[in-house]
Amino acid sequence: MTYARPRHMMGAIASALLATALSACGGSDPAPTQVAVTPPRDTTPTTPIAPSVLTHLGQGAVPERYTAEVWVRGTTAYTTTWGTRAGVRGNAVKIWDVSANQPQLVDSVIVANATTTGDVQVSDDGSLMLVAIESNPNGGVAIYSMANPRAPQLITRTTGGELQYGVHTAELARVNGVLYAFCSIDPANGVPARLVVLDLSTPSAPRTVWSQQMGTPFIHDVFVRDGLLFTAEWTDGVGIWDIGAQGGSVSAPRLLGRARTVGGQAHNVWWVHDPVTQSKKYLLVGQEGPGSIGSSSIGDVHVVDISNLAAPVEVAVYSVPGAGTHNFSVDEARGFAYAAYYNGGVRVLDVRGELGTCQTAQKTADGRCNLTSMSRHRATYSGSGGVPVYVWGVHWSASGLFASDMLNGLWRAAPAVR
Amino acid sequence: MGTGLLTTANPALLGRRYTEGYLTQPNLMGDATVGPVRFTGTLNFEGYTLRRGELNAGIYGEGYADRRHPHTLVHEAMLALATPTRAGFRLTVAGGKGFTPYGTDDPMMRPFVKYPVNHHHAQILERVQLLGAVQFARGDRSVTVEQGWFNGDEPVGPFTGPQWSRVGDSRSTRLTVAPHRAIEWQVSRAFVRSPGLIQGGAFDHNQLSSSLRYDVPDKRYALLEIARTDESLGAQRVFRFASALVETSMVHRGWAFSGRAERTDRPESERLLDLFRIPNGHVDFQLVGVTRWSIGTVQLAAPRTGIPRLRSTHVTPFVEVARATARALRTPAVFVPAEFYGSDTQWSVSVGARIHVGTMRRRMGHYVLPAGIRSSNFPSAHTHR
Repeated sequence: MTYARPRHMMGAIASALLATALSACGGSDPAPTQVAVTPPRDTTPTTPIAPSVLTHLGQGAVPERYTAEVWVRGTTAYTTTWGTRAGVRGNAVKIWDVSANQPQLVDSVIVANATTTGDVQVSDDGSLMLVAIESNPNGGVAIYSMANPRAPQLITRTTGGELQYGVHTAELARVNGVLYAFCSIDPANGVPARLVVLDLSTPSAPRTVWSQQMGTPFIHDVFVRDGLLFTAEWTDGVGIWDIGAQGGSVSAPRLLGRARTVGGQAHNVWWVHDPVTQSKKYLLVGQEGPGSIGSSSIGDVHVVDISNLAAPVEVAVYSVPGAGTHNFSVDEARGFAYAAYYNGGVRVLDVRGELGTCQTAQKTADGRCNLTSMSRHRATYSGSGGVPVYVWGVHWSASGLFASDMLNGLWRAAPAVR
Repeated sequence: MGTGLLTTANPALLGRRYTEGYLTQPNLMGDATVGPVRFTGTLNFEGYTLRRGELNAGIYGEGYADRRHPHTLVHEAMLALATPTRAGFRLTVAGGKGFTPYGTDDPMMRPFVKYPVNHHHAQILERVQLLGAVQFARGDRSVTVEQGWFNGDEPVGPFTGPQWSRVGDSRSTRLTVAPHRAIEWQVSRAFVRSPGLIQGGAFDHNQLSSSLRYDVPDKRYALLEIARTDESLGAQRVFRFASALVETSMVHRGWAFSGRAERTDRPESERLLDLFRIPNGHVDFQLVGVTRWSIGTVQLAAPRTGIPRLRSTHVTPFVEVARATARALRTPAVFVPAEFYGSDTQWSVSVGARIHVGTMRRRMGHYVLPAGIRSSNFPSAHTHR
């Protein structure tokens, strides 16, 4: 028999209040059924609690293309497409009405000469949408006006230059009031991977403000927050750059430190800010190991303590046998991280509180805390109907949890609550 | 030499029939021997005649899929120095660009015009290398051990040179036993550093090949071959692709009938805007599937004729038919052969004529002469029909 500790109870209450407030601010968003999960028991040396299953709410099927990333703003979701499915290219961005539980396809845009439209993101002010485009030599980004969020209008689609080798990921972030696109460029033969930062002050004429060879052999996702830039550089680990926090700038970043996670293959990053505990010391790092898309994957979620930016240290790990992680989305108010886990669906991790403190029995052989043993794995989701899934991305929003499944399209589930 | 060729492939992809003509395998070969020094040179002009690649079901490599890539202009330029034979032993050192001591002969010098899928499992070619060999021979019987050091990077285009800084980052070893003048068995292995990305960082390949070859010039030829490629990250093996192939040819009154059966596993990569092209290396170390190709090929070649008023010319007309089936080994796969090609079975019919002028080599990819053979009588199998 185990009991939640008082600090967890307080956290749960605060989280519930915050969640209630967020839901109240959600406007016309539906109030989906939510799955309650028990509070964390990170220091209790018992058999891990079996995770619950998120409540399935709806699906927007995409049978003709493989689905890639998902982004949600308000009652509209955007999904991109990948590769070639029976001869149909991943050159579409699909637009979904998600005001009801069942996503409804309302429109799509086709990106010229794209084989994959990878990352998609709407700017914080809702005015622009950015789409990453592959492949070599037709790589680039497409920037759309979102005056009508259900009917994006193309402003520009870049061609040539450093982006032509393929923009594998692209992240929008505002730094000191200026909107930037952080573009991770695929390596090509004789052309190493590179991070290119575009100033989107004039969306019709993106301007390169920083371009840096980066990653061995790939630069993948980046994460920008509070003047820090985190770069997932595969074998080189995660770079931590000052782009404004300590005197650096976007055009002249300063490398502060480098986090090396067990196994390398650093693919994506999320710097967790916990509004309840005020903690900002954990970095979630996704590892993408070699796999066969559609059927197998491998790679863990690594937790890195960045209390000392110059000397980050990995303190915990979450591993799923037979599956590997991909992209993250974190509900910081509730302290839940949603990790796309390809053929493993979606995994919900409790990231509130101490992740790097655990009992001996909860540690891996190399001394890291094992989040599974700590009962931090709180819920799973794999769509409905028992069909095979291969979940690329997740997006948590106040209106629900959205998962982009390469094989089946867009899934919607009720988010986890405490 | 060169081959004028018309190929129709149905379906080539997306249920569509493609019919194309080529001048394929245009080569200028030259060998020279001065005392103990032998030069082997081959210029390949496919970069001029075959830039889009040649329809060839299942073939892949160097950025192409289902089309065979053009080879580099300098296909071979090897200088070999052999010591005199002492007590049956002969040492050879060789350097230059060419075939590494791994696997079997270049398909170009074998009976069929279409390459087997296992080309990149069974040969490692167009590398800058240093090679050393020890051969022990008694009459027609010999045992040869070769060791080569070379650059791992695959060619990125027909007119692009190797990464000189990478010469020596890869290696191969081949043991060849010839117990009879017509029989040869070899086993070889290779470590190839990052062939997919010239700047490094892609999968390394650990390759293994073994073959048994029976060759009576002008009469009978057979090859039994198995090959395997492991893609690895450091010491961790990630993917394994295997191949088995048997081919044979019999000549009767100048007519050559040849047959080949092959089963080879192919890694699948994302297709580019041109659906016959793929990126070099695997993006994010991800495959989009593994396809097992099973292909049967038959060829009938007519007796060789000359071209009137052109001395030393030889023309060998042929017709070649292949039936290929492709099956995904991992499911669910995002590369589904039956969806991509429009059928799980593909047919290919090729008619053409192989033309050469002068004396042809019998083999390609060996820089240590078989026991008792001098370079001047080392012609091609095709010239002996």
